[in-house]
Amino acid sequence: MKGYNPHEIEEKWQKIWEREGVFKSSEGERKKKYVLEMFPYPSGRIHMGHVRNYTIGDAIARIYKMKGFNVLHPMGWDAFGLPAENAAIKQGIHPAKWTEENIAYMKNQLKRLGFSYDWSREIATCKKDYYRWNQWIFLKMFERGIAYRKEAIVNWCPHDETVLANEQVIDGKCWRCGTEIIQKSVPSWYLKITAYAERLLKDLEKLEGKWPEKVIAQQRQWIGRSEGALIRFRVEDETVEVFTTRPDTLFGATFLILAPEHPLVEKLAKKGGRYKEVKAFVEKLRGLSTRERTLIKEKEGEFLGVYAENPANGERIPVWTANYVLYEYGTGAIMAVPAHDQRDYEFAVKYGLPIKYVVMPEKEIRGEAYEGEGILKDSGPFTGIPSSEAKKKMPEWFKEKGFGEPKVTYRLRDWNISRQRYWGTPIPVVYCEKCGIVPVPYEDLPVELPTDVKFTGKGNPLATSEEFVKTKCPKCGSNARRETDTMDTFFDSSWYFLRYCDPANSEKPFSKEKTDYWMPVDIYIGGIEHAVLHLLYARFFQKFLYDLGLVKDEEPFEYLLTQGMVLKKWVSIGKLMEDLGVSEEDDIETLKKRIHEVFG
Amino acid sequence: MKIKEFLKENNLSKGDNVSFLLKKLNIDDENILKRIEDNIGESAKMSKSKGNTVDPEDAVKEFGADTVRLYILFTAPPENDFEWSEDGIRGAFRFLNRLWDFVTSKINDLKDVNYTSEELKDVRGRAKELRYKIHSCLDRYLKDIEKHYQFNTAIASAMILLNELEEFDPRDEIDKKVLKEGVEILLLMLSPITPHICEELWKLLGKENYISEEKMPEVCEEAIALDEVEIGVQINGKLRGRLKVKTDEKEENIISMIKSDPKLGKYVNGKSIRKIVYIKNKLVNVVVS
Repeated sequence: MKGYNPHEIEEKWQKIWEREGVFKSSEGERKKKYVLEMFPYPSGRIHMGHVRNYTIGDAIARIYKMKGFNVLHPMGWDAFGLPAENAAIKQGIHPAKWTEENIAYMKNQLKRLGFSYDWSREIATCKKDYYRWNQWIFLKMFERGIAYRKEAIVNWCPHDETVLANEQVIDGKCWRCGTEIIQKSVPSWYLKITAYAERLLKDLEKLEGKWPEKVIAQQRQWIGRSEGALIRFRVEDETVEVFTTRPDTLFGATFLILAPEHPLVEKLAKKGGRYKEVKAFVEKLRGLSTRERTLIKEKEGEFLGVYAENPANGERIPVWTANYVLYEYGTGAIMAVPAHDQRDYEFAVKYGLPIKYVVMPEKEIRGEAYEGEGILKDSGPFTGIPSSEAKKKMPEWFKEKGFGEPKVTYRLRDWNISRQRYWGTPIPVVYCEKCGIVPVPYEDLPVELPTDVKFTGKGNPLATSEEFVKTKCPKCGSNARRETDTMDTFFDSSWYFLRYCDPANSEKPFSKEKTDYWMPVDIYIGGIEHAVLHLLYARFFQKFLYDLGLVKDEEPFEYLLTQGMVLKKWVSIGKLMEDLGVSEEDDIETLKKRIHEVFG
Repeated sequence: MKIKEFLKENNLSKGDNVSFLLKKLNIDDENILKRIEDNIGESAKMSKSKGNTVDPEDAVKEFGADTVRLYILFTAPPENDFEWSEDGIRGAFRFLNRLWDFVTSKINDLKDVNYTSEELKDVRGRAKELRYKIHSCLDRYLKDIEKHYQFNTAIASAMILLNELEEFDPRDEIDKKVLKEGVEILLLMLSPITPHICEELWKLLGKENYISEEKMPEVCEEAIALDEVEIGVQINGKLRGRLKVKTDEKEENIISMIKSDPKLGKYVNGKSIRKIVYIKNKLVNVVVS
């Protein structure tokens, strides 16, 4: 008998399995298992992280098959995205061609590893028979007010010239190229994921014990529910709304702060006769990125020259603007309680503003804010009760008195899906001279990506296609302009697991019959880096589609396995030099000699 | 030439992987790089910028897909990070070579052997002992997979099973039947992990179905419910010998067996027994003064 020759037998069996359709799957009577690995971006070649991900999934799929389950184990390509466009800019190759070639190469690499995929279900999100259903889902969202357009201050990557979602900003930098992001006002399409915040949070309970605790915790934190109160302060003849998680400290509020971007800042400063000073201060801050703003150590502010009335006790309190209050959080304005918030305390000390303690700890407190619980004092009808109790009772009292109410807020923000890029799903909307925003009718889908575009590296290539941009209004026939924004690719991956159940359907995104049989995904395997991006969006889409009556489950992924990383030892040149005690000024022959002496 | 100039000339920076420097210095002894990494290396996620990637395509070319798959699943539980090592993947490759050599060496003996699980339930002696080992390995394998897909320990059970099968020397027809059962179960256990080699060996064994379409074998309860088990005997915490006893034997019977055993008796006779820790079917520790 001859020795072990892996290449000969592996390639032989891969061909046989494919020829015989051993891993083809179809709906049936048997109990099913849907085993899914996160589909890759077709970057060119697979890396060891992919191999680990897919090997784990493959072993699981094969085991379920052996255990008698009807197994669905598909694979596909998350094929839209920036690298293809960058290749077009750098190498002059069309993104479609670049992507196709990469898919072909990587598919061969996967086949060579013997994974038990049902390749007849392969999908690529850049194909129009896939992305037309992105557009279909978008229109459904538009009809229900879940997709909407708004002019907004967004995270803008100056390098890629594109908008980034909050989730794509890592430490104030672009998640893809690492450039520091800046704030910019751009009209954009949003998905109202916040309408689902409570359900996304609540249903995490259903996943306990089946999803890694770490992922559940990260989602919980990302959604960031906090209970508190909304309070309205009168300032001149305007109203400033404030959200606080410490309604029990309202009697200690000694000034108000509006974020520099707050629309009332300039108006109030004019009234207060401090326009010049305030304007200069706001201008100075405008050039800073959000990251720089959050990292600010030295608190600075300007008095607007006007006063508000503290609605709890009628006291006149000054109104300021300051660099440490961010417009994106809460209502963009805060009530400052320096006695019970350290940041407000530091600001009050710097500018000589009053500090009034209204929650008394057991021990005496001096020289800092007291942020803990205690007994209320100088707090009108609430004097003498514990702060924990006041937190519950006071918002109700605000409501009774008509200047506020209890409120729950979330850290979660609506999802900006607009990208000023070519290689993505066109947003199916036209702008008519007469009718304004008009959705493309379902029967006109897909809105196809044009091919006559120029890739210069600046701005949106889609806007360079006359043929694409110029169109007629589907409602009135007047001249109209097509939306040139394309969708964030996370849109594509938010429902692809449903398409695998029915990949060739040309009537709708998927048939309910088929998804009812295969869904939910029984085990989903991928990296933990997707904890709050993809995994939250996919849950959101599933719930939206559930509300439309298109799927039977409220959660898409039953069990989640987040695989570990593949590491490898390495040594940098600098580290070796340090270890050998040589410096850059030494001769190269010395280094060579030392290497042989120590490691030879 | 100064190091600074050398680096600049070769387009290198101090943050680059030392392997690029060695290449430029014409140091091509791979052991040097290995020793540098072993001594002062740090573990980091594979990345292009650190130059510490292993191209899956190269690994498949060198060892085959089954070896890569086996190594990845054997090295760590799926949710843990693991550090890629050349020794590790070579170990996986050696194991598959051993599997290949062993099974192919037995094909003539086993190809025409037929058995039913029913007839194997009543085997005795060495055949029974081997069956116990086969089915205990299978039992552990199935439980490890059930429990959060712990392939690393599941594969370890398959490796133990290969050892047991290699050591077994079949003397009669019954022995051969049990050995064949063992080989089949081993291939079935490994088939989700290393499907190609298992498919090939399955066919060489004369099987007509694809192993990829086979059912998972079931644990034979009779096989793992041995009526005799061997337990370790400790005196004052020190292992002094082993005893063959009935499954779930009572503590008092174990003590009288120790007393009457020619080797173990001398440790306890004439001494007073202070304490007995007895873990059924595994171990007994007798504390004497």
